[in-house]
Amino acid sequence: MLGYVVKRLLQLIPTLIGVSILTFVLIHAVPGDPARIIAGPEASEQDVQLVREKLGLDQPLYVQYGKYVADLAQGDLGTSLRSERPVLDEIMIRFPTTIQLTLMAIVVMVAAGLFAGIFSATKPNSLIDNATMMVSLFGISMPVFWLGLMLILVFSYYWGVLPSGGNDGFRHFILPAFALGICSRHFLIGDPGPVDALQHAGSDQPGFRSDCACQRSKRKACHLQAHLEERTHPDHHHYRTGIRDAARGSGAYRDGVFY
Amino acid sequence: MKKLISIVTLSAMMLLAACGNNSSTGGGGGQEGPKDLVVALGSEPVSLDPQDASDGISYHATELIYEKLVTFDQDMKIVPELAKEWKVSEDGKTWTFTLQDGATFQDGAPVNAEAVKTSFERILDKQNKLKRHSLFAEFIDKVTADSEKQVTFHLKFPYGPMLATLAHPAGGIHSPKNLQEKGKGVNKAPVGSGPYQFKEWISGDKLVLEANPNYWGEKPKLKTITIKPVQENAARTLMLETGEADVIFPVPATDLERIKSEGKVTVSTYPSNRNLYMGMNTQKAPFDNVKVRQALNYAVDKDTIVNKIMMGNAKPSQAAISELTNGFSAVGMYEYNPEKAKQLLAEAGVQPGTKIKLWTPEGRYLMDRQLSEFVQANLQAVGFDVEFRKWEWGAYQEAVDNPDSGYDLFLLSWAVPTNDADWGLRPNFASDGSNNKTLFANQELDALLEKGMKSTNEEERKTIYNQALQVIKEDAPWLFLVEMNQFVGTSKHVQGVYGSNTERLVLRYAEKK
Repeated sequence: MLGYVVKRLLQLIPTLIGVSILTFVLIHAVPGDPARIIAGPEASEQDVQLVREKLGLDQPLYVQYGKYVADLAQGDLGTSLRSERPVLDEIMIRFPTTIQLTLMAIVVMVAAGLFAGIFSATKPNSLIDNATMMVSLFGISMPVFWLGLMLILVFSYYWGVLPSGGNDGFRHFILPAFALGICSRHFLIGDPGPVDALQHAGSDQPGFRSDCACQRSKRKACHLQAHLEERTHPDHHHYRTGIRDAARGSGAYRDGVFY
Repeated sequence: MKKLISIVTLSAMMLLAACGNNSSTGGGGGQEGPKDLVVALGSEPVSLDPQDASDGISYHATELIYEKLVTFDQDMKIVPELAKEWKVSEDGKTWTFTLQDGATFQDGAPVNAEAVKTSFERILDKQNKLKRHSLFAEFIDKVTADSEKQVTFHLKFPYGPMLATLAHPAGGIHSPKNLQEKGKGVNKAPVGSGPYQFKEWISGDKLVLEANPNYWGEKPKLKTITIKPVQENAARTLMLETGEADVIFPVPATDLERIKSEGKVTVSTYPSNRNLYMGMNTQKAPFDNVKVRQALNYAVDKDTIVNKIMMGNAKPSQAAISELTNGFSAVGMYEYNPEKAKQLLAEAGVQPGTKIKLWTPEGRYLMDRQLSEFVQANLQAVGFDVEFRKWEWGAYQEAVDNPDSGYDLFLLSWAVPTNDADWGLRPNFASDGSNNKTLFANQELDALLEKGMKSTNEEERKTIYNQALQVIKEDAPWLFLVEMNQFVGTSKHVQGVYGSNTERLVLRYAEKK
């Protein structure tokens, strides 16, 4: 076992080197001179040259790469060209906010999903069940940024009860968490069928979900939904996979179909 | 079941109600005394070291923290700031400044000649690799402190735009103590002598400046100024409309008409000294022929561009520099006359159907692509076959930096941060100009620009630049287009904020009721 771990770790080394070289080269292959952009359109060639020297961009590519790797080995991810701060600091400043937002989105997702799921399950084909279905369909068809803008329009612009942006405490998290939660919530429509869920949880095929979820009474709606989804969101599949993993990780919801 | 629904609904409503109660605290609404001002900009400052910044947004902030020897007032006149008065020697090479009494840095140290000297020596030292090095190093030989309050600049040659250059934000004077303590870190922990001082900066979220309690001049009228980066145009406008921001800059062009007509907030339009033009590669046929360059100028309908494409938010260029730039005189624009254009092209022997390349950025300037498309249509109408290409900005800059990339016509703009004709013309039109992308070379003009740069007599300079502008118009290395405007959005409670001709958002005199 230990041998296996060591072997895998050793295999990791060439992969990491390969990836780092590839990304490094790719960034340099992108058109545009960073020194020029940083110095600004009105800068003289002399100013641009100063920026170039300061950033080490006048060095050959292999020297730049060597310095990058050497710094990396010491835990220095470099300095952001945009903010002129250490990259690691930049990540650490933003990381807690990301975690907080993710957790809140999961809470919304699970809460909304549980309620909708329970109602639908207890009263199949009732008004509530159909309404839930419609809302879910809506949620799937709506890109998250659009829902976000609509929420801002209603809650910030028309009603003025919540801030439209920023990061100054709990109130600022409500709308984004809600938007993320609702838009990722569509895993909980479909029938409460743990067996189906477990059977197909590993599948990433967009079509698969429709098959399993449509075995029961909501066949038509599901077909429509799957149809719409494939037509309007060719990339939806990735997005869903991410959400599914998040939900699975949280272990909070087992009664629906994990998409 | 019904009970459960009502409980959920009820709690949701209570949550919203609770939120509603808090919402009036945003932006420091109710309290007495100086208020907090929230400013939403397109991105955040990069560097609060004015000597090492190159972006406009950084300068909006450094102008609050730092002061220069001289500055621009709202009418773009050069007025005293840290210098009380100054005199220049006969030969124009020695400038002596007497400093204000009582001016102190935010760390308590006095603003004295030694501090001015230290600050300028820092930027003049090439080893420091500061982004604005060449702005001053080009003409300043050395700086000496004559006494506590008197400092002298020794120039390499008489320099006409000396004061205008000192009024550039990069002329901000650092606290020597802070320079010594922080070194390069001053860009994130600045100390100057301005009315607002650095309080905190959370990257990507906000930069907070607070009133400097010991400010030597007229006391600042706000408690704090918070600068927030809001990249999304729609979100920035919304913040102004919901009251989460008191000032936004720029106001997105797409929202202008709507928010003006709704009248909930104020949108003010200020002229900028930014000229939008289409450069021609003057070394390349057929643009090496002056008749062709003039023909292009006759072929394009500037008035329609202003009225229909820019929606009146610009005006036709009357010269290669804008009206409010020091040294400007109206040499007149080329009228729209496609017949004359065709005639000139025929005289120059340009066959109808000649292929030319027109390049444009997209999204960099107000309506840039649309404007370029219009120019394309105008040029097609006089017989050119115009190959149109739009670029991503980074790649575009690199491409137009290199004539071998194959451009014929390229859309760019030029702004003049010193508001002086020297910066407006020399980089673009001198044969060794740093931004001479048209590869234009005219010895008569070179001599004029040299003379204008080295003259310290304002009247003489005005005459020289009038001649220079005439030559540039006649030789037409540019297809002259429009002077740009800028848009500042403010809430109804805010006064004293304006956009300067050099595209600075001036917050120093801001008040909030």
